[in-house]
Amino acid sequence: MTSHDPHIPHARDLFNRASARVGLGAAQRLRRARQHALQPRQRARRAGLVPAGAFAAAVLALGLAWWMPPRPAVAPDVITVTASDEEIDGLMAEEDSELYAWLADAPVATRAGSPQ
Amino acid sequence: MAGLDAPRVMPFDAAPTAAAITLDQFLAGVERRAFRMAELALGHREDALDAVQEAMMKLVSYRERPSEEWTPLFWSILRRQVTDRHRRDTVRRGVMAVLGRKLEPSEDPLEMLPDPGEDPARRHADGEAWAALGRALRKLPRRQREAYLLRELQGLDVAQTAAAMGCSDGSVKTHLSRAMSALRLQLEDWR
Repeated sequence: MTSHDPHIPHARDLFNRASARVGLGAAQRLRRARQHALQPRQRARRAGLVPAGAFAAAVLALGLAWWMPPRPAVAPDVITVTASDEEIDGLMAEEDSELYAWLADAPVATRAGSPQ
Repeated sequence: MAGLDAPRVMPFDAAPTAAAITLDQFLAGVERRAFRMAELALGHREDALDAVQEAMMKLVSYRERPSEEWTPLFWSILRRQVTDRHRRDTVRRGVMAVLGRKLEPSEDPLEMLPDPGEDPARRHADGEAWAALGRALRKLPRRQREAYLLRELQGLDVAQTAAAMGCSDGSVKTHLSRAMSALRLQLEDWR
């Protein structure tokens, strides 16, 4: 019987009995759940090793880069385009006409391997 | 069988608030009551077990907090777990209703209170009462249900209930009063 309301007679007693008599399966599930819940902290510690290793590798790489003598700088080739648009178009047209003329006269290979 | 570990269940009004306990001891002391509370609220054993497991896992992230804070924290976390699952279940029921199907029935209430050594008539009566209490509680508005479960069944004091519910002491009293009135009507058969 609840102390607050006699019209809801044994709700609290019933709840207390039910909590005291949890079945074996549920009790095992709860125990496992508790053990599982208390474990992640250890896993997190292990997981923390990965970023720590990556950080150490980055520091090592930076140290090596600072310690090693610098390589001589190589100046890149400077390409300057001085031709005008007309010159380039003419060159392309000349190349095209030569290519197509060569294609027209070029021998065609057959299956036997001899040119036709 | 059942009740083998019964002494580990905390007696009413003896929620583990002492400062010197470990988190393992705290969880061991509340896990069965937490399970029964979630079961009453959700009406489903597996969902209740999952909710308690999630609440345990979330509480572990607060393990550095003073142990006297664990009680309201744990019930607050479990309350949110139950609310989330209740919403999901409502949506699922709605979808199943549209599809013209019913959700799988909940467990036999008699199986929820197994004790082979007990008088079968009493066991039957307890099973019926447990099922009726669960049905009545699930009909209550959420805040009223939470206030009743935490304050009346779980035995938290008003301040702890307010902390767990995230509201004022006055709101707890209002919700609880309304819950009692509603349950009085719904559980008339118990008289």
